[in-house]
Amino acid sequence: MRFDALKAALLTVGVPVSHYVAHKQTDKYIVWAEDGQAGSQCGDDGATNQIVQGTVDYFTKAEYDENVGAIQTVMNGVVSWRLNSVQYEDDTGYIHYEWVWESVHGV
Amino acid sequence: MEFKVDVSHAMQGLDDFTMRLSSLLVESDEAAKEAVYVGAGILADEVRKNLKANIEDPASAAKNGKSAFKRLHQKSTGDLEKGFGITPIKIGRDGNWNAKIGFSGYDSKGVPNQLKARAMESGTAKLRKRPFVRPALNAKRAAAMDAMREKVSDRIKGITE
Repeated sequence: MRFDALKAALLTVGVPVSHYVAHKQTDKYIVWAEDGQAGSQCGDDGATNQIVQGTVDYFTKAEYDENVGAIQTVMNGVVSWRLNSVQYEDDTGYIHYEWVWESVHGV
Repeated sequence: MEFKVDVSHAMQGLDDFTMRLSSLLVESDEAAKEAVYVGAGILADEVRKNLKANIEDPASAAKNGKSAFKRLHQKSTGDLEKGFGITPIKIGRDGNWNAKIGFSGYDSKGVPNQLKARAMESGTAKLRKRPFVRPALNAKRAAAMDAMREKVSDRIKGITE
């Protein structure tokens, strides 16, 4: 997978999408990031495949936000993922959804 | 014609084998505890290393570099590091020995250390994400499993050889 495939998929949700850091945050926004290697396969003295891990974060102030389901739907077929945490932020009123994703990359 | 078979030697070997198997059964719990101790230690050391790096990171912890979150490393009280640890190794309902690695307690301002750790790991609307637990597990999972396997193997060898 190319990383821009994930970005393209997330953009179809219809809210601002940022990579690593969201500047000028709006009411609802997505931040995605790749942050490391979760595993690899080696052969012939070299890496043959690399599993890259990262996160998708969605911030919303709306309860029962339908975008949560939409994000999960658009990630299907692009990356494998799991919902890692859901947190309510007292000070900002945001509900913060965090997914951890993994994707295999040929080297 | 008389035919005799001397089974005494074979029986002695069987007794010895049975005794070693019994020892293995008795000592398997201790072996499991030692393995968990070793594995948890490797993972905890890596988490602690990443946590320390985050705390000492001079960059602003804010998403937009806001001044309120600048130089947090100079204001660190060390409460989060002190709140990090490994629980005692216990046997679960499923019969598996396990320990948990994580945070407990509160900082000097009464904020739960678990909340602070989660904010650092996952980020918030104000704080940038600085994962330190998940990368530690990814980096050291294989090493921890190898060390645990080796510990159990050594223990078994000590009994059976």
